[in-house]
Amino acid sequence: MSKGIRLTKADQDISDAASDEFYIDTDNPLLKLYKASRGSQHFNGTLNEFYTITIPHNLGYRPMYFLFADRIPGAKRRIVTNIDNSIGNPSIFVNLQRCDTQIIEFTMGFLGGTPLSGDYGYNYFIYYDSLDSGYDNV
Amino acid sequence: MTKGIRLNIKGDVSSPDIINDQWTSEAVSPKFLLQGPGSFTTDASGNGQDTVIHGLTYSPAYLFYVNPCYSGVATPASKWGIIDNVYVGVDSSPELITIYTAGAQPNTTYHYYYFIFVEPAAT
Repeated sequence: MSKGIRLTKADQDISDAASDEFYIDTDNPLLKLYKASRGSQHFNGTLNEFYTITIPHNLGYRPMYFLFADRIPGAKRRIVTNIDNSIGNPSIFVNLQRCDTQIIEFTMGFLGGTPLSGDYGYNYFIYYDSLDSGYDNV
Repeated sequence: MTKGIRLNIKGDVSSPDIINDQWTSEAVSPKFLLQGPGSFTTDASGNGQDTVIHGLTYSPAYLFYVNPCYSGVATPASKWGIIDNVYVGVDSSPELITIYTAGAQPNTTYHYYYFIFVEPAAT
């Protein structure tokens, strides 16, 4: 006996549609967004100017997340990882510091090059989906 | 004529608002196929890899979060990205996804957590 709900894309036969032709298939759960927001950090544009930005989530486990930050004020936003590999100018260094059961934390700052002053934007998406639980397949 | 299904329990469902809809058939939401933890240990040369078998006939979209050996920060991995100053790559193929590193510290275990989606990585 099969239980569940399936919703196919337009013009697809639900009886033989491939898995990626469903909008919804309860055999394959959807991403669940917990929190999404944005912010910015003002930089005066001096060497060794660093800021730590903390995003609380308090979920009690490490969640799936995406974090994006500007490379120049208001532009060149890209995903933040554990180590930044930006080279030359603009020289802002964005580095993921923590992703734990309560917070996600990253630093932004200038190590060298020619710092640009201005407001550096960032945005993030945090999901209910855990990085720690679910040792079995979905 | 507009066809489709929208779910919006917070706003006005009669006004298109794809960003704030809880769900809409105007957009494809990624569906999980598999998720779970894994690890691999580098050899004496600092090379190592692991595979996750998904069994699909195409290359699916994925997310791998890698725990660097010293910090425990779970960071997204990419096709060929830098994590803790070493290269960690992920390749999506039909049947399986490979995660690998080269030139890392020898005999070091990297832990990761993966999400593999039903949706293809490219169409």
